[in-house]
Amino acid sequence: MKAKEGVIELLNKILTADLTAINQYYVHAKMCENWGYERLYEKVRSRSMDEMKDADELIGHILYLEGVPNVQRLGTVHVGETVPEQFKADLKAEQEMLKILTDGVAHCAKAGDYTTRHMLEDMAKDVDGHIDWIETQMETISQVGLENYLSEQIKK
Amino acid sequence: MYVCLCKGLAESDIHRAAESAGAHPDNLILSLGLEDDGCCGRCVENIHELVALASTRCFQCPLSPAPADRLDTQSGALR
Repeated sequence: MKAKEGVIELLNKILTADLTAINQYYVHAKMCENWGYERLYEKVRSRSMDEMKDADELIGHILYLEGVPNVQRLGTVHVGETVPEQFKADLKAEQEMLKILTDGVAHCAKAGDYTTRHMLEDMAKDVDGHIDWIETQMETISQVGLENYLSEQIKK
Repeated sequence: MYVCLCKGLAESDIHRAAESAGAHPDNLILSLGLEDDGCCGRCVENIHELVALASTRCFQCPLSPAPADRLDTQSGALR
């Protein structure tokens, strides 16, 4: 099926943000594993996997709309040196992702592409969940202190 | 934060390089080897960001001085 005006470009833009996020979260997860924070590793790794599922869906949808998925382009990967820095970088990435997705939803509604619109809405819902989780972690750290927080992340 | 993944450079590395070689774009590129083989070129493209970073105070390396305009001369605290 032929895509509506600007939808392929939009989907490729989201794909770029997604591929960047996969790498960023995966590096953060593996750093947590390396530091011995098993619980955090599991959680952050699963967020990376969520992004991968989104990328899978996006690539499939771009092909269905007879476009070419741009898997070549990658944004800047922001890697934190510490757990709080990682949260800060991930939160920023998720907020940017939410912005691109909500702009995309508006564009699809205007262009009359309701399938893509629903897909992006579902993705935005997941991003909302991720933002909520990161903000909760940051709040917990500010309440119990970083040391206490991290010592809870050692065991699964 | 890591600022360059090709070279594995963190913010503290930028401050150290700026201190020994100076924060001029050319000096940073040369001393950090940002144009070496295998570098993606993003750092060179956005070198002004590294220069800006080099001129802010780094809390991880006590050697780097705070820029005069941000330092409260009476209390010694950062504005």
